[in-house]
Amino acid sequence: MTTRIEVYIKENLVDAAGDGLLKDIEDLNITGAVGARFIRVTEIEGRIGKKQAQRIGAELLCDPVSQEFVVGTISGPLTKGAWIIEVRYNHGVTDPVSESTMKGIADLGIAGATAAGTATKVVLRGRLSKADVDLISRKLLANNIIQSYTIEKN
Amino acid sequence: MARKFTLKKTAADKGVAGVEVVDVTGATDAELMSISKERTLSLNLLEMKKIARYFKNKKRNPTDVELETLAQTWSEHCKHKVFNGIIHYTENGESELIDNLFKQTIVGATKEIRRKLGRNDWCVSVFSDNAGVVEFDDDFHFVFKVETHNHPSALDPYGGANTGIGGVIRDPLGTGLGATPVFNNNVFCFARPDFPHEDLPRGILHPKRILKGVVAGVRDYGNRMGIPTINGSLHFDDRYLGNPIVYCGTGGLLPVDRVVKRPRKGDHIVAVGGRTGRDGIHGATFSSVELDDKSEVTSSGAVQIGNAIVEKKALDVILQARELKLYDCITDCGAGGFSSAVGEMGERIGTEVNLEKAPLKYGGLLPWEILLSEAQERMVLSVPPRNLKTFMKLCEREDVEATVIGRFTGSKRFVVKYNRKIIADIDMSFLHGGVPRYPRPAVWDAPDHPEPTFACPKNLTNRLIKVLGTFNVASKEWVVRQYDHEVQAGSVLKPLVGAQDDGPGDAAVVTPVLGSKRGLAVSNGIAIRYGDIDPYWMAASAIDEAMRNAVAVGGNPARTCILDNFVWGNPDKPDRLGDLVRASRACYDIAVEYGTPFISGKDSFNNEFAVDGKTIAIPPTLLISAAARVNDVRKCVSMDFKEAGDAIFVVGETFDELGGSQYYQSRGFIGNNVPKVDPKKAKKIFRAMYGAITGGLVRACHDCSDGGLAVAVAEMAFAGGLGAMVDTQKIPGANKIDRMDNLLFSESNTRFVVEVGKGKETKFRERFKGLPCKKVGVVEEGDMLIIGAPDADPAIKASIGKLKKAWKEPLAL
Repeated sequence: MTTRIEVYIKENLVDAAGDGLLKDIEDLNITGAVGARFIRVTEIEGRIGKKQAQRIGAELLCDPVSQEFVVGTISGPLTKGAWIIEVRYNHGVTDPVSESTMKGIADLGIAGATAAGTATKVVLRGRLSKADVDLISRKLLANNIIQSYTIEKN
Repeated sequence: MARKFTLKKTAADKGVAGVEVVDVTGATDAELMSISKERTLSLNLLEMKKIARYFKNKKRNPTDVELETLAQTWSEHCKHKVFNGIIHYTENGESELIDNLFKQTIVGATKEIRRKLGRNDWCVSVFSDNAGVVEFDDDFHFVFKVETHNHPSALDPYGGANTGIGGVIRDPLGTGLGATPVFNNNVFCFARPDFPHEDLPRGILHPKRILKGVVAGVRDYGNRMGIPTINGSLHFDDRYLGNPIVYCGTGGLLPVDRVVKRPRKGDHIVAVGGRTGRDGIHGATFSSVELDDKSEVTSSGAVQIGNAIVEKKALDVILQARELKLYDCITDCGAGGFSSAVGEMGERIGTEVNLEKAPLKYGGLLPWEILLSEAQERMVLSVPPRNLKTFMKLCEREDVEATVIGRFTGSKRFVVKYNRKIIADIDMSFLHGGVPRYPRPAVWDAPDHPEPTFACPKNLTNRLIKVLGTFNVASKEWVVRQYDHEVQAGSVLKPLVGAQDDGPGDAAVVTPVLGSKRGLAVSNGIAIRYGDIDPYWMAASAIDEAMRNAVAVGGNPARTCILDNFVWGNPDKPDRLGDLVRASRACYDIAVEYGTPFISGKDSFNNEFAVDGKTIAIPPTLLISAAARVNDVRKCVSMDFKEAGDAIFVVGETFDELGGSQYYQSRGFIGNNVPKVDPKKAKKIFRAMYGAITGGLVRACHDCSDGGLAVAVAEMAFAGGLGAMVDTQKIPGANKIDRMDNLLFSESNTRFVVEVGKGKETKFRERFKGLPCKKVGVVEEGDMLIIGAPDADPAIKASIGKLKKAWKEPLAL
């Protein structure tokens, strides 16, 4: 079973990575992007209970001062109507963050996790075509040598 | 061409799964080259034939494991065949034969300096270990290494830079019996970050993306390792479009009684740290190929991803084991993986590796892949049997994976077994001494660029603003702020200095032994555009710049060591190799005169990118990194003006030397009057400046480099939040230059702008008796920078706020 935890910057705070992406999109001569937020995705394989997932999110993955998290996939106003791009490492590429996550889960005394993986989810708003979002994904977000990506309209 | 494994005489009669025997003894020349290309061996015909002959004498064909091991060990990356080879050199029509350029110039300079120093020689171990070692204090030696990680960074900027810094940290750790890393430094060369997307050739990542990825990679690894990144620079030229340059350096401290290392017969070969995966296969040979628009697909195996946490744990356990004297020898697992690390350690005695023992990240790796993988965070140690138990317990306690993968044997052979069957057996003498030397042609002819035709503008304020805003001169604060400069608590002068901590410091100063006043001034020099005119003066200028940066903060010029990092195009093209000869010869001439020994270095060739039948070659690029001893860090000075009323001096003469300058570049010219170096006079100036700074006569000091005097004074003013008035007629050399723009933007070497406090001017002048040194102006209250002749309208008149804005904005990415 896969437990998914998504961590994101609080909506009232600046998402510096998102703002940087908007500037880079302008450099691509793509107009129309008005908002970008980054969400860090962690997927844990194994038998992890709801309470344990909450603990992992709160005590390991999330900085409570600037971030919030959900167990599962975030929904609601943050993502509604936006383009969602998810970038993840190809199979076999070393993912040091997932290795540290496994160690952190064990340090919390939580047994049952057998593997972890990470991905980056980008929420993109504005008047953008699928072709625009695909170009943004290829040129700015995913490196096809080591990563792959998916695009969805929420 | 390949068939199942049947290694006669040395192996069992049954084949080993995943091992192939490659028919080289019966292959034609064309087939040999085809084997080399198909397997990315980067070996030429001469080398392939030498290998074929060796195995013919052995009456068998090599396994793929043996062939790959030879290719890695004989790679340009490991053996420096170009630098150590034979060169037929022709310069402006005159020809000569050069036998081993490296020995004649870089090593030759150090040898000559050490000879002159005699009993006062302060070099400890140079060109013989993973990093150079010089004396520091009674307890520690200083260890320094700078590497490049260019090709991987072109394909995956984050991972490439990440593993670049991770790799160079392991060099001091693998020097002597292990040095403690105390700082990192980084220098990058990219194409312009505003390069038009529509003009980008296919297969190339946009330079802004490369820049951001590289910076993030260095930041994440360096910061997580708890090592301060204290010095660096960024340079821009569109010829770096397909081949960005990523220089990564690490300095460390090595206890004086831990310099000598030697594996002993019977010692266990122990792999410590990360596991072996398919990442980084063929890194050493990949670094010897030209990139093209297919490289991202064909060479994806060369991309590695680093894990700083694993390396940090390995570092900590090794330093503990070093103190307990648990091992005899150590080296890092870098290019070529186990094949190079074990092969080099056991060069004199012989090794036997049991490859199946190597801990793997995942199954399915072929034996040659295990041997060659350049997976990160791995060190190889030779542990005597009596210490093995203690060593393994220590690793277990610290949660570091350590595995015995073989023994040092005394056989003088490189033997690899897989499940008890021999899959490689090569004489160490052939592995390390068999690579053939062959001559290469090299040519250098002095170019003749068009000289500028524009008239001197009456008002140079806008020109200064333009030069300050060029990417090469502009503030690098956006990058610098991402690095931790303070961890380990030894930073004295950080990269950004001044009233608001945003001025461009000349060199960083660290005091790595807390509580001691002794420190190191760490700087760098690079003069890319001068190479378009003459690589000799490019190299001379790079050494001069590194030196004056170190001296400007209070580093001792008589105790400065330097490192060379040549990053060049394809050395099989005679013009590229001719540039190398010119640059190397300057390295010898200037280093010997300055008394600054080269203690370590690295070269990287084939930095060319082929697309649509065109080749983009990088400009020949030489980075000189310097580290100068500082006896008392409390006496160091920064570059920002400190107080109104203080005198402004210019030390060093300005010549009409705008060839390759930022000013000419901003006007679309290269020119020919490249800045030269007068090494005898320069040495005297450096000595005098060191005396003036350590004598407490200097309040601020800044070297003149990109953008010349006008930029140097402007930077000192806005870094200090103070105005300044400069009389151009008093600038040493002004009487020989008839244009104001040439005087203010010339990039002549060995010049400093110095702030001298009230009551100290006479003593300061005395220090520079007989040398070019004049008071040119005064630091002023307010925010105006005024530069000009007293009898005319100012050539430059601007508020420091306006100048600073122009300087800070371009690279705020």
